[in-house]
Amino acid sequence: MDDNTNEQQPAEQPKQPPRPVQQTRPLPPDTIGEETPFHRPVHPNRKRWPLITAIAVLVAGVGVLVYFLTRPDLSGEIVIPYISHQKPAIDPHLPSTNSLADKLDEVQFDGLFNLVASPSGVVYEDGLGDFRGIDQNNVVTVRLRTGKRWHDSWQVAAADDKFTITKGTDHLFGPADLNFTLKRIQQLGSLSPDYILVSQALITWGFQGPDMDGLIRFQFRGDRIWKESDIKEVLSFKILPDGSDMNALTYRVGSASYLALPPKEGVSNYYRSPEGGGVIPNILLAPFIDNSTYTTELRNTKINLMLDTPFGSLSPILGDTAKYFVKSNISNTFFALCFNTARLNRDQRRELRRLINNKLILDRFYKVGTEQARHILDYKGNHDNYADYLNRSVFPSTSYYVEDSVVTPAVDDQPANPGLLPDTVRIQACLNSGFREEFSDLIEILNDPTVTRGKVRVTAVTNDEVRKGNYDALLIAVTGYRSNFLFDLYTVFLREPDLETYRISLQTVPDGRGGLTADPSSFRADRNFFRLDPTTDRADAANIATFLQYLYGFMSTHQIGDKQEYARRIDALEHDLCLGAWLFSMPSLAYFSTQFDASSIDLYGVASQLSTVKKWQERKK
Amino acid sequence: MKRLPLLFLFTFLLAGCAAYKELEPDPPLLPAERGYIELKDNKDNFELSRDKKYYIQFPPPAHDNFKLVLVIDQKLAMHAFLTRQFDGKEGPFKPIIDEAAANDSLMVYAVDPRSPMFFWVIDTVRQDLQLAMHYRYVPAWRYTFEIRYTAYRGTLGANSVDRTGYEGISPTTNLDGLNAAAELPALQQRSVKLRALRDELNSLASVFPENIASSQDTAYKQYTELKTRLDDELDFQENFARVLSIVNIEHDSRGNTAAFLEGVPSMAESMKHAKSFPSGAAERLRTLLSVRLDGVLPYYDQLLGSKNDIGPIKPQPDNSLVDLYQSCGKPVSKEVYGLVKFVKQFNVESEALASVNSRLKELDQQTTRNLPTAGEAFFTMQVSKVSQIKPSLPEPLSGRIEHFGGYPCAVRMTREIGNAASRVNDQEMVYGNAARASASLEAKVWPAAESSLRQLFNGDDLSSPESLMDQRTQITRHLESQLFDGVKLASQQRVDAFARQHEASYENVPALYQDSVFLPVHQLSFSSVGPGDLAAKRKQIDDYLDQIKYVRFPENSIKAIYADFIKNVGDRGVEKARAIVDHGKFYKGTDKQVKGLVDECNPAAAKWIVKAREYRRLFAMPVSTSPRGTNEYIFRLGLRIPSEAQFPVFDINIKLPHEVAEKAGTEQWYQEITLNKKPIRNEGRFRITAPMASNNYESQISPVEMDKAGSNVLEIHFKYPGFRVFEISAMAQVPLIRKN
Repeated sequence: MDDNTNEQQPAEQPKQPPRPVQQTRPLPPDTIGEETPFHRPVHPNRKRWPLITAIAVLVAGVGVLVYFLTRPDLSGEIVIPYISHQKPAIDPHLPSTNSLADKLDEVQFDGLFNLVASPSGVVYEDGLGDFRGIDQNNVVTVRLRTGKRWHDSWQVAAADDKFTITKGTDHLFGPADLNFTLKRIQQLGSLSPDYILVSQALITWGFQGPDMDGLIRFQFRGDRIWKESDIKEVLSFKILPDGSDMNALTYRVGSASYLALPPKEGVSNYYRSPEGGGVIPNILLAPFIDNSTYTTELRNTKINLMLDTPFGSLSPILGDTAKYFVKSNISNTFFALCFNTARLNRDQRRELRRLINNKLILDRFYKVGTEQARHILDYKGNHDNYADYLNRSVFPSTSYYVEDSVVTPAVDDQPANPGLLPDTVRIQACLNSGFREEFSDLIEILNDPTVTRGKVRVTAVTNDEVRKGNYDALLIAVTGYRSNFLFDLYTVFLREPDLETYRISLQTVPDGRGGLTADPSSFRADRNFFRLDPTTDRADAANIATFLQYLYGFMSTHQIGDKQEYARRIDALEHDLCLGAWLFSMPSLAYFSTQFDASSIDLYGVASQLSTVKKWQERKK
Repeated sequence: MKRLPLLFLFTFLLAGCAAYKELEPDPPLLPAERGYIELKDNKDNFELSRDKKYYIQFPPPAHDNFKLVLVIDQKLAMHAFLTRQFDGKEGPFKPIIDEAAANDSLMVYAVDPRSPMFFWVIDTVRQDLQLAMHYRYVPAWRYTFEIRYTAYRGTLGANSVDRTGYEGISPTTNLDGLNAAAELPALQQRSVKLRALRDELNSLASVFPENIASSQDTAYKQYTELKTRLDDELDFQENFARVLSIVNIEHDSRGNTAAFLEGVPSMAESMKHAKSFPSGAAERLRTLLSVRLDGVLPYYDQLLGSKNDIGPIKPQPDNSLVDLYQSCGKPVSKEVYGLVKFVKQFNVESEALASVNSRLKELDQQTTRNLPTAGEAFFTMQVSKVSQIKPSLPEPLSGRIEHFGGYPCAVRMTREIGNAASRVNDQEMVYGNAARASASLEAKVWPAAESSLRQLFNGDDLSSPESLMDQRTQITRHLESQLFDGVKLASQQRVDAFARQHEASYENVPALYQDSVFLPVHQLSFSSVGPGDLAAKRKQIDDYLDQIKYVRFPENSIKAIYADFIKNVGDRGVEKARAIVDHGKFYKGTDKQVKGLVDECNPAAAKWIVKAREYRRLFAMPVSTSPRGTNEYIFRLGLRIPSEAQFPVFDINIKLPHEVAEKAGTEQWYQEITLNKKPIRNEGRFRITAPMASNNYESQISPVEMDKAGSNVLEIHFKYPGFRVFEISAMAQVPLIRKN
């Protein structure tokens, strides 16, 4: 890595497209290399009901039969909805605010070893590597599966309703690809969770070989007993082909079970790899304006998989267990109010935090105790355990740091003193970056004088307005957070205030000891939701600088003890600085159509919901 | 023919070598009493050669008590002896004592008619000589008297006393002038010598021939005359001695009635011979003694009036006092008779009571001495001894004697005898109870023994609860100690045997702990010391039983069963493990190893991993009981790994048996995994890796936090169609930071 590295994610996603978006539905070619006619285009939100209803009216009795015969048929397809203006940008080495993007990593890319779920927990399958063993000097030997083709070994030609997959020039996986990938991860540094994963195992970022037998060797650290599963975990980072753009917006060439079809409107569907893919041929991404209609679309068989559900709650219209089944996961999204440090001083921020009663908001959010209550179910089988989702720190209550008491969030029971606050605390929220339903409700709740004592006014704004920073606080949803050691603080504190683009404002400089440290310029008012800037906030400049160092320390270390200590310091200092109000996490619930055989679907984590997608099967009728 | 001279020579030599040669006197010897007769060989003396040996046969006398007297000039030139048996050979022979051995010319031997012949044997002749010898057969008395007559007369003469003073005593004589204190010993010395002479003369008389009195034997006449004079002198001296004795006693006890009374028996005895005294002396003595007797009753009145003890009354007046009264011619009053009777009775009672008390004391001492080993036999013997003492108890008669029965000592005597009687009875009861208690102890009938002990100690059947309290306490304590030791030992032996017998048993272990062997063979309910002592004894027994029940039995059982269990966990391993756990529920010991073994077998106990990066073995046990069906299994893991971290976390790696995990790829091998009772799921923040054949059926769970209190327990439930024990290995180490 260069001495002065800018760990920015430079690519920008395109602007929000108009709705609805048409997508073509590929069907498997009968023969590789032969031209295959496309089926009719898929219009997930097309309204066929009038025609069916008309037929039904005209031909009583027969109409019903016709309906069943002509209703949408999703056989051979896994159809997943997404917000049309939030196109999943797939980077297997960086977290994404688009949860679907993280999940599609598993569909498209291989690691040397792939982490997949099984009924008994995770297992590591051979991906691009074949584990050969570890010797007493902690040298790990792996045979590279150099015969494996990159997806660009196949040429996909699409025209109208047809696409053709033909064999192209072989692009075989090789050590250069692995080398490239390691170099990229190293360059990404603490921005990439894979950096932490690999750095805790490898002394040097490289390997020896391959030798005559195609074996390569990694020198692992000698500070633990390296179990096979540990080794495969370390080597489970996804591999990109050598020569890929180091800073691409999205990566399409992988080697896994499903290959990406040429994008339409910037979004690809997936077809199982000719080299051996999944059981179900197609994975289709169905665009929708927002998530408000997901449940209806599922009921109408426009989609058959909903990885996230509005409010994370059970849907009353999807209660038929003969048609749907549910799988719950640990939360990966929380809502927060980011206080604008440029407009509110620390005392005001403290009073604002005291004013915000997250339990009251949560109860209103889920309409707890009313007939319209939004019921929830967690992965442990608990129902309506709303209080478990309340957060009191930037570290969510579901995270390792709070659950194992590494961080004990301070409790501030002092009543708020509204007199210190501006006459009206102006809060902004952007409805166009996902969670439209949830944000709408939250705006209504926060504007309710019985909740915020008439001191708050929340308005829905555009992303451009957010970038201007004309708010006292910003209501955001932090998505895709991990509850394990790798909780991502960059996403919260260093993400640039552009909800359409995921960009982390981290500048690093040499620390003089051979390592790196965060440059104070990483905090610039126009580059984070909190408008943190030590150059303008003289009063808190030192604390802000320290806070930055803590953030970097937390994110860059692979020492658990250091992580724990940094977590405590960050929690404590954030509490003093009063940077935000950490409202609550949202349950994570996935709905599946019973088109799928539930027993073939294993999950081991939210971000890896699709790790076993190649094994998914349709239920036999 | 040439051999004939040799034959003669040999015969001659044999004859010449004969041991003794008989000398045959001529005239032959006559055993009659005829004075000294010369012994001749015809008219010559026998010639004796040096170094030759000879003998002469003397015929026995016709009567007993004869002596053979030999007079020899050359006694010193030879050695000879008289014997009853002689065969002419070398002997040995039994010589008759030479009564004149010191005389160099005389030999005197006692001979009698019981031997057919006496042999005078000359076994040494120191020089050639002619035997000039006289012999005489003479009665023993005559021989002695003839020899001693002169000395007898001298003795009589030398020890005769002048009678003038004695016979001159008149009723008015001042007896102090007799100087009795000095005269009496001198007189007594003379009397002693004369009595010795009389004894010697009497001994001669004992061997007089029957018809001696009618004979005209000169020696006998001399004897009679000497004896008459001697008797007269002795009669005189004895009476004189009596007079002097009375005078002396009276003189010495003057002013001391007690001393006078001590002399009463002697004086009374002397005064019985007053008729033999000269009349003046007799009269003088009556006068003298009468004065003293007047002081006797006042003396006793004072003595008894001040006597409070029950010791013998001294001096004790007996009938000699009455005799003395009478000898003095004084009338004997009924008070004197009453006094004599009372004192005699009192002293009899005193002596008897002292004897009883002494014997009781001796019994007491015997009991004390023998108590450490005393058992039923001893106490039964003591009962017998008490029974023997009982008849010796005096009847309290002295207290009933008129006038004297009212004296304090008499009253007390009555009371003490009553006390002694009670004590004897009580003693009999005490020993009886002790014997019964001992018998019960020896028969190990603890309740009966304790009942007898309680009775012994409480003394309910005694004359008084305080009676013999010390002794009862002493015996009770001893037997109580035996009871305690017996109950304790029996309880210990019973429970020890039980523990040994069932040590390795793994069937129905809880029932073993309900066995009555863990209770004392008898629950002690009595202590002479008090409730505290009773509680302490019970505690001591209970402590031992508890020690067995809660420490040794479970400890040994756990070790034994575990050793058996570990040999082959497939051989009824579940039953053995459960037995160990059942034993462990009762175990209160401190042996960490034992507790560790219990925990190893207890599915409810967490198996602690105390060192990172090291596998430790543990067992997964079924918690259900379906020997032929599917069972639920549990094992628990905890972390106690030294760490300076405030929140140490670990990866837990668990190697599973392939039987358990072989289907993990197609179905969840476990039912539930919890950390502190909270389910862990892959859907959450934990990572659970599946055990597969490719990873040697090793599952990993991460991250598992080790809290400082060590209360974080990872619990794993699974099911298996079998009823057995599985061996599992687990290891913890610092976790990897994982993406998902």
